[in-house]
Amino acid sequence: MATILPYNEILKNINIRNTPKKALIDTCALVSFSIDVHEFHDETFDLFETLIKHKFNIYTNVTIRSEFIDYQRRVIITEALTSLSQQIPGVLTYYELAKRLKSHRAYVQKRADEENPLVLNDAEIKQFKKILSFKHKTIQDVWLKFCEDNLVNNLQRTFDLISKTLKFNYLSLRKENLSPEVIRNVDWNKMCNISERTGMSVNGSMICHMFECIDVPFLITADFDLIYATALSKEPKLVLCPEKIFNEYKKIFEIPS
Amino acid sequence: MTSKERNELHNILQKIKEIQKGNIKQDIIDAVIDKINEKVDDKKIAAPPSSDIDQPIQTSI
Repeated sequence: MATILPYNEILKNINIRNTPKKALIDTCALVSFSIDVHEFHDETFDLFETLIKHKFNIYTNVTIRSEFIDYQRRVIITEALTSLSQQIPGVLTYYELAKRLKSHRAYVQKRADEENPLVLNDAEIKQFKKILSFKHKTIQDVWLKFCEDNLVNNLQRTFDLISKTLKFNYLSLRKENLSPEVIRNVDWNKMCNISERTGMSVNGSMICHMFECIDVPFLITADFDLIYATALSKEPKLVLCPEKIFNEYKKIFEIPS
Repeated sequence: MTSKERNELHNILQKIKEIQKGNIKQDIIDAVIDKINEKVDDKKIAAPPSSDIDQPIQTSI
């Protein structure tokens, strides 16, 4: 069973147990760093400072990178649509485009007031894609132009910026380029089994199973599902999470303080 | 951690925030306004009740 700890106990574990300074960083931790109004942003920022200061080797993989980039896609589209909706006059029409932009603006405001910023989900983005896919003068497709202005060259860049700062090591499972940290076979059936047993997303299960198969003692995450699954894992590893999630974990697993 | 490294972490965050803001150009704004106006003209005769307009988008997030 993995040991779950709050972020601020990372140094204690290096000093007491002489644990190697190697950590796998999950998508949620990267996301909470990248969004400065995220509830776990400050804690994550402090943790990243610690990781850099103590020269940790930081690991990531294809699942984490694609999840992070996809989240940034949703953030950028949400913000760009908000900016667009703020520049459209408040006309009274039930035409879908005006209605959606007006509703979007109102909903962004509502969520901001609740300190829970809106990030559109994929179904909502698809609705905007449909209503913005029209030709206008020299613009062949307004949605594609919107994407070109806002997303092209930017999605990968968000990941590259963090990667450069934390000096990510990329865990590869390719036979010809297998990372030395991968010490067990990553098995599709075992990965599926994690999802089946715990009800966690398949992507989350892939990250959890990857963590089981690598010679990296720390997992840094802000995802309760991942904490839940690693807590049930037989691997005696260390999982670090924000204080609030740590307290939720203690309550559910009845861990004494 | 040196102040240079800390500044670098702040700078990275600023760069990411800039990207996240998006970049709405005037041609897109013009296209959307034209499209809405075109539809407003179509619907001049039968305007909808305002209660139909103000409903927020349902979201699962």
